[in-house]
Amino acid sequence: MRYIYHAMKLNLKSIAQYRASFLMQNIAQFVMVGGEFLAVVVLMTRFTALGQWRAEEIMFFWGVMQLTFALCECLGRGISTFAGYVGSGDFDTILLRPRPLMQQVIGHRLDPRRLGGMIVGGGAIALSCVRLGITWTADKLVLTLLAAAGGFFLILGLFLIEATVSFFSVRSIEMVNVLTYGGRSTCQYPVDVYPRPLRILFTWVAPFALSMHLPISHVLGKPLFDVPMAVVWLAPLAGPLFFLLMTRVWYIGVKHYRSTGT
Amino acid sequence: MRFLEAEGLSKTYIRRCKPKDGGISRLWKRDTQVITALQDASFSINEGELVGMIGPNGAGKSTTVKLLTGILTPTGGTCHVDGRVPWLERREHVRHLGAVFGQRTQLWWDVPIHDSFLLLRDVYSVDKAAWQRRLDELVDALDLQEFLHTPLRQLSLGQRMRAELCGSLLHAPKLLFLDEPTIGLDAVSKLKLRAFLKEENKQRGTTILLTTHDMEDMLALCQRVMVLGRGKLLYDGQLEALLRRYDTVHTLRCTFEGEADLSGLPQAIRHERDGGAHALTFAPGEIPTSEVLAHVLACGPLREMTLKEQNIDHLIARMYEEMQL
Amino acid sequence: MRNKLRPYLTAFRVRALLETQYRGAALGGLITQAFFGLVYAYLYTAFFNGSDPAAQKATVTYVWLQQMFFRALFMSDGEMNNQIMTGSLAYVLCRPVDQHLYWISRNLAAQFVGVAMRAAPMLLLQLVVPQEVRMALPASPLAFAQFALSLLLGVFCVSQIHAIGLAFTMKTLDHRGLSSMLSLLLMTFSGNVVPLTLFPEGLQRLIRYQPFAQVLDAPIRMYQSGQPMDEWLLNLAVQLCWIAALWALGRWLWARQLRHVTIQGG
Repeated sequence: MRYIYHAMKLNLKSIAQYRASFLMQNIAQFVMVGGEFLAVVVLMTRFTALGQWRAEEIMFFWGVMQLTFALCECLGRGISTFAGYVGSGDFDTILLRPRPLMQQVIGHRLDPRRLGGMIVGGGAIALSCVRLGITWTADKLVLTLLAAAGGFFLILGLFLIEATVSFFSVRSIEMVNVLTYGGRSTCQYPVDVYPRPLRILFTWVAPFALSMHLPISHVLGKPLFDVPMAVVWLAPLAGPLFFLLMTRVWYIGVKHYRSTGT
Repeated sequence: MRFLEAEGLSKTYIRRCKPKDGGISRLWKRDTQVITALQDASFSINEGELVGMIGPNGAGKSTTVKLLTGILTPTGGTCHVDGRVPWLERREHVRHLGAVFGQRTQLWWDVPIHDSFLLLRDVYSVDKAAWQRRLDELVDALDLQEFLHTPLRQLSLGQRMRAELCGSLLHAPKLLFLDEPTIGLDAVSKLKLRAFLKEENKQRGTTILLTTHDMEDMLALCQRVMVLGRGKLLYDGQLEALLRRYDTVHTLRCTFEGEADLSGLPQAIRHERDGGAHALTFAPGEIPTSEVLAHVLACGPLREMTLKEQNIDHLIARMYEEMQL
Repeated sequence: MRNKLRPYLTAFRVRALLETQYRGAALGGLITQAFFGLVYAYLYTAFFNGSDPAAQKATVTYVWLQQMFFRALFMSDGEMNNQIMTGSLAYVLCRPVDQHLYWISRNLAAQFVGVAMRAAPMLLLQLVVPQEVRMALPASPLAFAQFALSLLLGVFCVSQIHAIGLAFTMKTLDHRGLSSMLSLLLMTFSGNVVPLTLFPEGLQRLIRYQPFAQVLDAPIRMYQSGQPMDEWLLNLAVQLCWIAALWALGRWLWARQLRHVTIQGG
């Protein structure tokens, strides 16, 4: 743990070397995600509702997704850019150190420029809460946090797919990102607005519906699937389970690591 | 058991590539090609040895080092370092290992090197006091004092290499791998680096395995050398002996006062005119140098004379040629 | 004249050939764009919910065309950015050519071939996509002709924008902030994120005539309606004006930057 803390501190120090660039990129992130937020606003003004969901409810789903995704890009930067280390041989350095590999990969890089995105996501949630007049109870709060945590691990797991593929092929790996970035774009809206094949994909393959939409739908008082409450509480576990599974697969990939010649 | 023992170590890759011909099927069909990076290498190294590894590009040096460090898993054979199999007990193995890859950095680019060293302390879980003592020692030996608090990116190549060395030795490893440590360094830095490595090896008994293209490094540091070529270990033994085997030709260049007649020289001495000078090449094994000198002096009044052994780079080039690399 | 143009024509041809080699990237892009096209088509179908079938079909078509020609919005010349960052731009500057024109020729080649390589299979995909999210045919043969010409101009337009972006990169040396900012502007204001046709009526006028809309939004509108001659001429004039203005700005910036370009790592 001390190692991770220390590595993160060094990361921040590195970034502090480029203060102006850091600020610019943060603003860029803010504007970028802010632009996407405005897009949602434009759509919700034009249509007023999406299926059974009102504009404010959609905004809640959207905000949780943005916040979670930005958090993943910030803390999981080591994983999401891992394919690059395999290409450049940086992974050699990681293998030369007596620490668990996954710990090092995560500690390798941090991306606090995503703060801008987190602020917009958080702002969307806050705005939506105010407009909906949600009365916060302990269970609603915990469900929201569970949704964010479940989504967090799920997205890290999805990043790991590309990381694993990079052990086997150096070319054309961007297509494996379809589930990651496609999942983010698709699942910023609740899964029930889509037809069956997409619903199945994002419930059972990349379980955004289980880990995020189901608990949030309960917070909003419009339960998505007709399942017992116990299942709702357990569903976010799908995220961490997905992550663990992908970690196992990634470790298999490490055995096939070829390193690049010098 | 010896400190490092490798038995039949092999590494092959399978490369897929597009078939040379064939029509539309080129889009999805792939031929497989087996590439042997290292084939059946067996050797052992004692604790405290300083061994050099040479060979042309693509000979398998890097592969060997990466297998010994546990970065790669071999496709055949095995090896033990200090009783451990590197790729099976990676974490324990690398704890006692240092490595410097000449063209790559293990320190953080944008922060002062001292901060990187602090992180390495946590990485290797080194005791604080021991670490500080070691750091002081290394800073002193490597002359790092001045730029200990400068970000790595602002250092010159020579300074950077010294910082890398310091970083890889802070946890007092038993075994140090160096991959082309002097590449791109100026003469002064090279000499300093060599002196430091020699000292480290002698004083602390650190086992060092060094790969390089710089034959001067080899001469200065290593008594034992391993020659790799096309994935095979071709020679493993004394550097001296290797050199003697290939250093068969000496050249004597001389000029005379006025004209001299060299036509009477024995067959064993090859004679070429080189402008106003004469270049005489001979093999000391065939004809003793003293005899050659006697012949030359008999040819006329000598003005100037130099005797040269073969340049070590030429020598190695000849060796590679002979080994058909 | 022909002789003078030769380096640029050669640059165009070589770059076009090179682009055909990037089949892996094209396949990756194809899968991504097909996925996004499908998701957006279903999303807007859900938004409309059958309330306005004509507008619904138009939006679905809009979305597909955006994804089909997405490569036209792709704005990262990694090679050039790299050259600027590492300082090997010096080699480029040694070539005895008009740098701006030379770059534009290469970029156009990459864009045209890249777009064609992705658009063709996307069109075939339409044959298997379910009826409710399939895109519509062009309004008329004339509409298609208008669309094709306009799309051509759209690609010209994006090249000019890209060249301007590079001029700023030459100044700042770090392309990341600017690249992401420009991409964002282009994606948003060309209608890729949300069809520009769905923006509030009051904004439509403003939003249609800005430069980014000239890239894909203008052609798509022609595809969908087939415009009467006077309106079409107006739109064409707008596209041409923007291209000319951006071209002039780009040339001016390049000339300025190249004169005191900072070569990295000198």
